[in-house]
Amino acid sequence: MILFSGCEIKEPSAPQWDIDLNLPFSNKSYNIFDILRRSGNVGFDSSNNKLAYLFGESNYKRVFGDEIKFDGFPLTNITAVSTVQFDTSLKIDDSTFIRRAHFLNGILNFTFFNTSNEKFVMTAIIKNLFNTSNDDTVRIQRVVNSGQQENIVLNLENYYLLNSNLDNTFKLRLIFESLNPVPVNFNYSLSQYSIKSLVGRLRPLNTGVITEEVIDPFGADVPEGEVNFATITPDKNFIILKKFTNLYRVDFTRLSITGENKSGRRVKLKYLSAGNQNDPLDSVFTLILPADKDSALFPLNQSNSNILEFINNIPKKITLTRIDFLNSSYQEGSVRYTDSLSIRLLIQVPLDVSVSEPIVFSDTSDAGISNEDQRKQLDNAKELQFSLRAENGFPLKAIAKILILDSNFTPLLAVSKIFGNNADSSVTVRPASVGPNGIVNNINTTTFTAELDSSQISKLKQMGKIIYEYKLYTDPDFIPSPLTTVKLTGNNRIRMITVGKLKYRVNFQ
Amino acid sequence: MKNLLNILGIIFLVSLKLSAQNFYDVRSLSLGKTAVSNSYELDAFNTNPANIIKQRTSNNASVYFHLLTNLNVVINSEYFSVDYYNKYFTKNSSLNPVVLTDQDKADIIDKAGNEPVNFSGYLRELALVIINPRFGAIGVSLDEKLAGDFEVSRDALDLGLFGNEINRIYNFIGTDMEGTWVRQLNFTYANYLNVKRNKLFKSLAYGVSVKPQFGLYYLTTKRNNLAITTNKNFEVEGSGEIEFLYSGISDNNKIEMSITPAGFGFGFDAGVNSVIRNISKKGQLNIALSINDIGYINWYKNTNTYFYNGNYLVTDITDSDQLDSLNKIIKGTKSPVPSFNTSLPTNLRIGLTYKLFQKPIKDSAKNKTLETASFSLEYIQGFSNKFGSTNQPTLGIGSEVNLGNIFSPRVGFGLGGREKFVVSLGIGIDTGPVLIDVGTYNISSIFNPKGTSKISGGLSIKFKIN
Repeated sequence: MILFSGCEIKEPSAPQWDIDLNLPFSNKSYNIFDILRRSGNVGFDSSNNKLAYLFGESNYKRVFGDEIKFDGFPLTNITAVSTVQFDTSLKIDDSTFIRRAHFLNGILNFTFFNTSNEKFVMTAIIKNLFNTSNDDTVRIQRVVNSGQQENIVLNLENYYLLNSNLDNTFKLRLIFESLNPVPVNFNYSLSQYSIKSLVGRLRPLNTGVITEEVIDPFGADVPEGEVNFATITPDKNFIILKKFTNLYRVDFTRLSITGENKSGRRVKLKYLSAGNQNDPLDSVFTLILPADKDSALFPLNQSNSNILEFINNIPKKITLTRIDFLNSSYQEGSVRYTDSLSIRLLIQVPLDVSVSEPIVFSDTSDAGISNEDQRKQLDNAKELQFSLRAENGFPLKAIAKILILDSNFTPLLAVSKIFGNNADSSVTVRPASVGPNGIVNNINTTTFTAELDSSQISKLKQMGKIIYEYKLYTDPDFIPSPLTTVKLTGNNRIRMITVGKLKYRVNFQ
Repeated sequence: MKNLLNILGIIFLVSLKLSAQNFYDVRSLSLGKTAVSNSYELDAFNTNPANIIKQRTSNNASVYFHLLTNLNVVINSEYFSVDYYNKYFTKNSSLNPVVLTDQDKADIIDKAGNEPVNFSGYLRELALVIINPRFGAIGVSLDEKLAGDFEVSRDALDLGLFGNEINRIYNFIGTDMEGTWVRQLNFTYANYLNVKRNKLFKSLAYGVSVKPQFGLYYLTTKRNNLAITTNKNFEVEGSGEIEFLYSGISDNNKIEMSITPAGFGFGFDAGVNSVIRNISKKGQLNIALSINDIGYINWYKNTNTYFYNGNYLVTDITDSDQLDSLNKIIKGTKSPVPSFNTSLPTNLRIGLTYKLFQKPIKDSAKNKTLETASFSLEYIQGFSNKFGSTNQPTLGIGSEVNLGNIFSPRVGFGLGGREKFVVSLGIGIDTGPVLIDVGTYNISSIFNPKGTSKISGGLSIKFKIN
């Protein structure tokens, strides 16, 4: 072996040393779109300082289905002493005159009685009713024996009615064949039926009371608290009526639109009672969609409605009640059971607001060290000089909390408490200053510092969640007179940067 | 991270274990690395195959052999000394790990930053030379050759020892590691040419070696342009990448033993050594030339690249997604690659030796007169900077004195190469059937073993049968 005189080579052992790691612990920023992020109902106007606005939409759509109903006619008995041929008209509706109709349902029923001593053959023809499968005229033949009765049931679903001129009857011809004339007894009835399609002159039809709800018209994250909007966006608020076919005139009558906020407070939308200028405002109103138009637009503004009061309630639910009348003008036209009607309520309001009760916003993010070795390495951390830099670009005062929890949401460390030393674990960040136009002109930056010892650092090993919580509200002391509101824009952003210098002992043992 | 540490571990172990690509026997180390014109029998492997037919004039053996008795180590750097090792990489007097002070850290950065460390080692497991006056000399040896280079950039050391400063770019360019472990079989044949009528040469020996190479491990840094920056928001941004190329008998980056190699190739040596006529009555001049390690190794087993993409941005270390992404980067991406070739570190040697004898020598190639001293001069030109070799030329000067034909103290000088200047020293002991050589290429390894950063030493025990 090699020998070096006086040379002692000791057992190897890795040294230890301390390093200062400058690390970004978290960097979270939120703008108005993040704060109301689940709504998707926030936009900004790039032509107007990126002024943010809230927009809502509630769409109420109905499909008629089997709701175009007619009463039919009751059981009617016919008695004749003797006959070989019998013509009659069965009235299917008093006021509805049909060129062509297909049926969704309905039963036409005949029963023939033979009280004579000999049989007869009955042939029934409904001249204006045709089979949908082969377009043949309805023709039925039966042998009715002496002392017997014969029942005929027609499911109208399989037939259609066709008239060359407007008519409201079935044209029935009965032919009886027997050795001798026989007395004839029969009855017929037509059950309530619905129309699949109808061409002709429909009687004015009340389709009944419709009540529909739209939840979260402004998205799920409607700001909590007392928010007062200064104005609505001009020319962006409408009630839109629409029909989805070349339908009769539709009267949307007894319209009532009610907004209900998170607290249950309700505000009814008041509008021109008949949709015409100079009509009085009423919380129950009627709007008409003429037969020759597919849609109609009714603008909402602060002079023809109470839209600002309605929107300041920030409805979480909008309920619409109405009765639709078809063909109140009693004109010729058409309708199908697949036809539909819709009412859309479009509302847009700029975020020019005063917020007296804070808008509460919180964000929970997954955090943590999944690697077991890395968690163990935190034991080598000696101290952490921690600092929080809050950059508030909102014209709103912020009360912020940063809470570190484990994955089961058990609190580990209230970071903001270490910085602010407040009982509620929060820090208060002043609003950004605003100019005479109510828009932010200078971001406010506030820095907090603290030192964490090794036991506090050790808690970070169990870290699983970080909750960022903000309460945002306007502080009148920071709104320049004579303004009472501030404008939120797409550029506004609040950022929380936590960084730290971690003194760490490098140890390979 | 563990993979990276394993790779670092492999290269460190590979580098420390032994053996250089440019191999020197112990006697040559003691003589300032001169060998091409003055080496004998077993010592001539890998430096001049012509010399395996040569013996000291006092010997007339027909067989020489080694059996695990030839070992040498060379560690060359500007800072890595035993003192350095003992100061920072051993336990303190309280048997606790050393805790580096800021001054220690600054010293380490100052000394080790951007400074290469070269390790090489060589273990001859067995070797045999049979000399026969009629058919010449044949030799065979089995060798383990290990070599490595390691360098850490100053910035990387600074980052690792002090941590990251704000608004500073840490550049890892220059951080580099390479290592190889090759098992070599050496088949050598040497003989004399008939030059009786030649007026210039009294004798002319020639030799060739065919050396099958069995690659066991290979690792090199393919590229490295990694840089790390910390901005004023404490965000840590990396750019660039590091890629290693690996082949080995194990796929898990752990050192394993196997008889199945990871690569195979051939190396070839060729050389001549002539004795010049009519130089002196009591002296003899040898002039020799050799070229060694012409060849390649084809690495085909477990050939992978390990790619570490350094392009990342850490803005939030509490963000598990960012941490997971960073972990993936640190773990790297292992990708299989086709087989690849590496060249052996070819080197050219030319040298001369002047030997003094007790009595006037006969004009014969088979000179039996006792050799009292020799002086050698040799020029070595390498053609590779990797694996213990260097393309910086080296000039070696060596001298040996024979006392009573038993003790042979040696001294040498090395100029150029990686070491710039070294004084070497050694001794040979001829006990008859057993020949022992001990020596170092760098005299400070003996007289200042703790302080030297050019550590070198070797031991050789040979046996001869007449």
